[in-house]
Amino acid sequence: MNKDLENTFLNALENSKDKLLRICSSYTKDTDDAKDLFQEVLINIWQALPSFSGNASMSTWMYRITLNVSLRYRTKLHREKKRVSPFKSIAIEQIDVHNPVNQNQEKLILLRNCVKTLNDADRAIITLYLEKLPYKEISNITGLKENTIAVKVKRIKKKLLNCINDKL
Amino acid sequence: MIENELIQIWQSSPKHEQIKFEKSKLMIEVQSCLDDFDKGIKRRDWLEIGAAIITIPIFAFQAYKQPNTLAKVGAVWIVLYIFFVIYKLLKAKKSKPNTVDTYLAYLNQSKAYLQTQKSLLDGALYWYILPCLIGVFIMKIGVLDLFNKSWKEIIRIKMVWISLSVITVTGVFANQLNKWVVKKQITPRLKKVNELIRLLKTEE
Repeated sequence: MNKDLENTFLNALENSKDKLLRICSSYTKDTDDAKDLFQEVLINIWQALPSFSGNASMSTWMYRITLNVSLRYRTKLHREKKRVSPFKSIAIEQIDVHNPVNQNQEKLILLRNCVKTLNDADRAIITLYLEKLPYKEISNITGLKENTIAVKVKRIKKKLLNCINDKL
Repeated sequence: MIENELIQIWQSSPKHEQIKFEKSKLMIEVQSCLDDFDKGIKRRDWLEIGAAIITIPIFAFQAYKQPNTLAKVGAVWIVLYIFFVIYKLLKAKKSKPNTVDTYLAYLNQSKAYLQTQKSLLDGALYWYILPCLIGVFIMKIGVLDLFNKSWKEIIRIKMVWISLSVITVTGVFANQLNKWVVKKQITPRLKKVNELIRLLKTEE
């Protein structure tokens, strides 16, 4: 294994792990599924890393792979999803699992559930927006024009707020 | 809840769940998973293409060895058919979508890939099943020397009926299997991908 490549991979992963997991979680129904998808994303990133040209930033490039792999994961049939055995080196730890769910956590669960009700196209855009990415970077990841993204974000946000406020 | 809160709540996830990994172990697992994946692809390629390549010398030898001209024609037909199938399968594999492209480009590539797979399976009766059956059929006629026999004699030959039954059952089964794959696997995915492309391109 190339040591430089390995360090690049691990550093990029360390910086983006929470962001990537959040995207994976919005495409899956539970933590186990999110871990499965996260694992598949990592494999795809590692596999594609030697061909990373640097035309886009590393994070943009990783987001692209994450979204595309998430899309592929969702369009696959269930039996095809479980081909890879779970990595023992990755663990998703729930914090304060024994304490009652606090208000913030409740809001997070609600927001995630509302994001999951969106179609995949809206979901892809809003998850990037919620990661605080500028429209230009979202455009680089999705291949859509910045204006289109702005219009869509406005509409999706409205949908999300309606969904959350209905359930609150 | 207000708009600004959305981002704040979304990004609060590490307070509630955290992803941790053991770096050294992770690299070993990722690499071994990729190795297994590569092995899987090689195994599948071997089954699809390797098996076909092995069959070529067998039929090429038959084309040389069989005394009957029709049997020779059938054997040559099958050799050519196998080359054609290998070419078609390799060509279809080339259009796999690339995950490093933009979301929209990936969707368009997925659409093209699924359409290729669909047309490959939809037309399998004409490029995969029938040519194979015709080749086997011609060779069988030659090997059993059926042209120099009367109808009564042909009807009495057990091998004729066995061959005809096997050829028909295999053809029908392969055709039905392809139709099932198109209906249950490819068409739903294609529909979903088309819908996503449409949604992304719609400016509201």
